[in-house]
Amino acid sequence: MPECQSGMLEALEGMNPPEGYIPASAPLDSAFPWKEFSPTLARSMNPVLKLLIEGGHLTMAQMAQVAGLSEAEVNQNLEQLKKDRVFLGWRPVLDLSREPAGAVRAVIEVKITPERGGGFNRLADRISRFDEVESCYLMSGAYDLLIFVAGPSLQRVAAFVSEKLSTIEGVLSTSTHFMLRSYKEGSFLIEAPAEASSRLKVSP
Amino acid sequence: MDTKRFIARQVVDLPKSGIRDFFEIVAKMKDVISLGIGEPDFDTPWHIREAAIYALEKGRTHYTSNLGLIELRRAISSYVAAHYGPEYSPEDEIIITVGVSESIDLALRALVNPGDKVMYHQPCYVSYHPSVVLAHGVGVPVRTTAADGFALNAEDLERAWEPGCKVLMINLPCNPTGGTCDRARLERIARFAVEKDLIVLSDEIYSELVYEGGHTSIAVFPGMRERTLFLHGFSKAFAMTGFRVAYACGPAELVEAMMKIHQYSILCAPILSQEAALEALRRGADDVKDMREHYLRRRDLIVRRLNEAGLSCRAPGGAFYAFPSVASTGLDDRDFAYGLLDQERVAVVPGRAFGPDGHGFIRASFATGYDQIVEACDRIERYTQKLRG
Repeated sequence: MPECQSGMLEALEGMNPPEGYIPASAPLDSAFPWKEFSPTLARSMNPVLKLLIEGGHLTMAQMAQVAGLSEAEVNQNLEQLKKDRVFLGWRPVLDLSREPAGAVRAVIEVKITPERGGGFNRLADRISRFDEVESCYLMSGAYDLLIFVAGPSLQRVAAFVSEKLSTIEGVLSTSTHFMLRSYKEGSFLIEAPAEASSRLKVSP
Repeated sequence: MDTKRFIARQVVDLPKSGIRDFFEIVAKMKDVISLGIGEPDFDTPWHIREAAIYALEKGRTHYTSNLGLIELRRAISSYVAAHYGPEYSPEDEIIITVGVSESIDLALRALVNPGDKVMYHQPCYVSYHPSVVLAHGVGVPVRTTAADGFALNAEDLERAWEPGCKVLMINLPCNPTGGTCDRARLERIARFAVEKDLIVLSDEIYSELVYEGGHTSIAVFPGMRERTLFLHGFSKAFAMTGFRVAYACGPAELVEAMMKIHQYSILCAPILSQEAALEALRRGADDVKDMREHYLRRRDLIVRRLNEAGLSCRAPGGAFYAFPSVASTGLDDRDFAYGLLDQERVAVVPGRAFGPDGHGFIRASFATGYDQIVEACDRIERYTQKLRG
C-alpha cells in the first residue's frame, strides 16, 4: 500500500463515517437517506452563515430579505460570527493570470518535527505568520504541513523557501510545487464565464 | 389552396395555450425579470450531466427496450417503494416515457373511449384538458379554491361527478396553485374513486417539493394500487427538464396498454436521458434536499413580499409557484399581468391560462434566484401602490 494511503488510514482510524455516508458497495436502496419526506427542514444554523456558505453574492439588504431579518439583525449575526471566529474576513476570488503583475503561487509539502506538549502547533503557527503564506494545513499522510504561498516572482517564492522556511529549526524537509495554471478558484471555473440563462422566459 | 381544411376538427377547435400568447410578448422585451418560468433555475447537477456524457463516450446511443432500461426500472421500483410505499415490478409494471406529459397522453389514449369522461381539478396544468380532448374524451373540471388552499375535496368531486366518468386526474402538489392534500382528504378521495370505479392518473411530479406535512401518494390507500397510474419524473426534483424523462407505474395490464401506443409513437425514451436518470436516482438524494431547502426559503420570501404588496397569497404546500389573488387591485389577472409587464418589466402568468377557475389569480414562480425575486417583488410593490393611487 502506498505510504500516503496508509498514513490516511491511520489518521481516520477509530473515526465514525460522517452522517449520511453511503459506502460505494451499498445496495441501491440505502442510497435514499430520506425514507420519509422530512416535513420541516433544518433551520437551526445561523441564517447569515448559511447564506455566506452558499456564496450567493447577495448584498446585506438582499440577505436580510432572504433570511427574513432586518439589516441590523444581519449585521448582529455577522458580528456574532466574527466574535466566534467562524467568520474571519472577506477576500475576493481573483484570477491573477489575467493581470500582468500577477503573483506566482506554489504549494509546499513540509515535514517537521513534532514537539512535546504542543505537537505541530508551535511550528505551524510560526510558519503561518509569514506574509507569503496564504494558507497552512496539518495533513495526514506522507508529510505534515501543506502550505500555499504566493509572491511577486518565482525568485521571491524560492527565496522564501530556501532562506526562511527550510532554515527554521524543526523543519526537516520541503517539497515545492509551483502552480502552472488554475482551472477552478474558490468554486469559480476560470475558463467558463457564467452564461446567460437559456431558459425560456415563460413556460408552463 | 386552403390547407387548413385538412386539419382534424378537434385540433382546430383546441384553443392555443394562454401561456403561448404571453410568451410571444415577453420574448420580444428586454430587461424582463421573469417569474413566469415553470422549471427549476438550477442547472442539472454536474454528476448527472457527466453520467450522460460518459454514456455518450461509451457509445450508449442505441434503442433501449420499449419499456426503458431495465436497470433504470429497477432503480425506480426501489425509489418508489422507499419513498411512496407501493411496490411495482420492474419487469412489467413500469414504463419510461418522454416526460410526464407523454405518460398522461399514453394513459388517456389507452383508457379513454370516445365520449368517456375524465375528471380533473382546476386550476391545473395547461395540458390536462387538451390531452383529454385529443384522446376524444370529455373533460369534467372540479373547482379548487384559494380559501381551501387549492386542496382537492371528495365532496367537490361528488358534486361534479356525472354518469360516464371513467378517469380522475390529480396533480398534487399542483402546478399552478401549489395545492396539496393531507392524508385524510386524500383517503376520502381514494374512497370516492373506489366507489365510482374510477381509474386515477396521479401526476406526482412535484412530490419531492413538499414543504409541510410530507407527501402521500393516493396509490397507498386500500383498493387504489390496482386502479392508479402513478406518474412521476425527474424534471422538477432533479432539475432535469430538458432531459425529458419520466415514468408511469401501475398494474401490468395498464402499463402494457400504454406500452402499445408508446412503442409505435416513441419507441423508447432517449437512452442518454435514461442513463442520466439512473445516476440521479443512485446519487442525487442530496441535490434534491439542497434544492428543496432553497425553494422553501424562496417560498417564504415571495409569499411575505406579495402579501406586503397587497396581493393576498397563501404559502403553497408544495411545488415552486405562488398563486396570489389580484382582486385587491381592482384588475383582472390578465390586465394585471400585462400592466405589470408593460410598466415594471416583470413577467407573471395570468391565472386564466390554467383554466377558468384561475381568473383573478396570477402564477409567480419562485424557481429563480434570490436577487431576482427581491427585485421582482420591489417592482410588484411599486406597481400595486400605483394601482391603488
